[in-house]
Amino acid sequence: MTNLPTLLLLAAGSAAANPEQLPSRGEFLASACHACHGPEGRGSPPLPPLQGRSDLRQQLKAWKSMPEALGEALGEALGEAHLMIRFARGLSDADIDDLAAYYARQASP
Amino acid sequence: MTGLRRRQFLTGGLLLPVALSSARLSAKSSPHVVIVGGGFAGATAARYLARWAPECRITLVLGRDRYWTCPLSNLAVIGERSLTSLEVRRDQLAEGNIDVLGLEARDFDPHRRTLLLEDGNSLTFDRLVIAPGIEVMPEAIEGHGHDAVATFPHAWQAGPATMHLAQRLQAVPDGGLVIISVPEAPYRCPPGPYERASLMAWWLARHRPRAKLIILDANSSFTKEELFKAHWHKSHPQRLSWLGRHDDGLLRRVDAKRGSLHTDFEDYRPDLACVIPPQRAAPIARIADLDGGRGWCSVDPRTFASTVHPNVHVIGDASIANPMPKSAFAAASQARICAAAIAAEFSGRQPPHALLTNTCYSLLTPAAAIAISGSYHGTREGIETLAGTAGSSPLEAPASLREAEAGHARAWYVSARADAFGD
Repeated sequence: MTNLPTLLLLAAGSAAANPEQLPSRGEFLASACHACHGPEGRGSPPLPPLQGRSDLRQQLKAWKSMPEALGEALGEALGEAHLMIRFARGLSDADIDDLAAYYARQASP
Repeated sequence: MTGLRRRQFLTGGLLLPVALSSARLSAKSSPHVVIVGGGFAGATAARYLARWAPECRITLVLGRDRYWTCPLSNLAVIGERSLTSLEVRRDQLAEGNIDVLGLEARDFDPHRRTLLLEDGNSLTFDRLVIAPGIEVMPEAIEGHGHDAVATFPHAWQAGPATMHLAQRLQAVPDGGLVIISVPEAPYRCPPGPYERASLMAWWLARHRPRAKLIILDANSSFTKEELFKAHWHKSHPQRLSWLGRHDDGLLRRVDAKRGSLHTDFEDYRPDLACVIPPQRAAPIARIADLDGGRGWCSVDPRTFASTVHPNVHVIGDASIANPMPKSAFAAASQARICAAAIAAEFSGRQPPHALLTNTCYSLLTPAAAIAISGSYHGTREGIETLAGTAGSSPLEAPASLREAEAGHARAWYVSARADAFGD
């Protein structure tokens, strides 16, 4: 007996860019943030929540485009931003769009 | 030993015909993923797989031992955190499509796709995920062995051993000598020995101000070296010495009766010798040649499937994932890739682009920390560090940044623990 969820999932899997795939590209990328920013990106004080944020795309792109030397110099002033500047560099522009769109769709905590 | 295991496996196999028929069934009904090990790697894999492959059945084989997190356990060594606060209750992992078994796994057969449990029963799997962590090998040091661990406590797996080490530290007299010996890499938590040295030195400065601490290191360099050394130079110039491999730091032999340590040119009689043993993957990860005889398991970093048995995945400390360190953060990152890859395969899709991440915080004092981080890409050829992503806290920084990072280290701990265990 084939169960219904499997059939539904197989149907979803046949459409390559279907956002209902588990996990979506955005959700998969966002899961990396849970390690510090809490399950579902709910936040873990003093690390801020990510759910429901509309500014993540702009913020990640700003960090990604920051020259390395400037990032190092600002490291002191920005505190933990030295980590975020480097994480942002590991994301393509498409990654940033997907990740930011995923969090923007979630309800704020 | 392997032969004996094999015979036990076959004689314990009355269940096999049943198990095999359920394997055939499982191709049509819900696939079964068996996960061995419930640390950061195994628990994270179970929870994300449950979410991303809701059609599959998941059995998490935890073993019988209670579990305490290694992260933050160095704080318990210096009395700045309770052991109770590090214990994770894992019964809440059994929810939805996750079953939890408090039994040890004894053996597996990648061809029959069966996992043998200590009670003689077998589980049949479509995919097996091995996440058992490390085995310590004190016997790899001349004169040492499991019987001598109480003499040379390492507490490299957190738990009651952490408190034994804490008691031994309390017993060090003022003017006494503490030695931490570091094994040759790879080992669990590369910055761990240096964090422990920093925290012990912080404690000694307050409670045994005339005591000394020496790090005997089998390596000639180490992670966040500049940052650690700058802190030691500033805060413990007369208290803490690091001797690298090139500087007679390699521990050659111990004498458990005398409590002494011996390098090529020196004999030490410390009041406390924390001898961190060489390590390898835990025994279940070395069955069926999964480790290729190398002690650690080679994987395809796009999916963390074993290069020896593709229906077996190995994540966390037991896998070969350099340049990623053997850290809880890396283990959870690998677990998410593995879960997404298995979910994709069950639904006939390609695994996602394998973006891996790591951050290791190290405490210099209970209120000051440094961090190192990196992003990686798993490819057919191996794990590549992505350009511009690897780096650590600035060398020159105000105390306020180190304090902020200690706060972030605690925030990471709360998040990572909640994400992995729901606790």
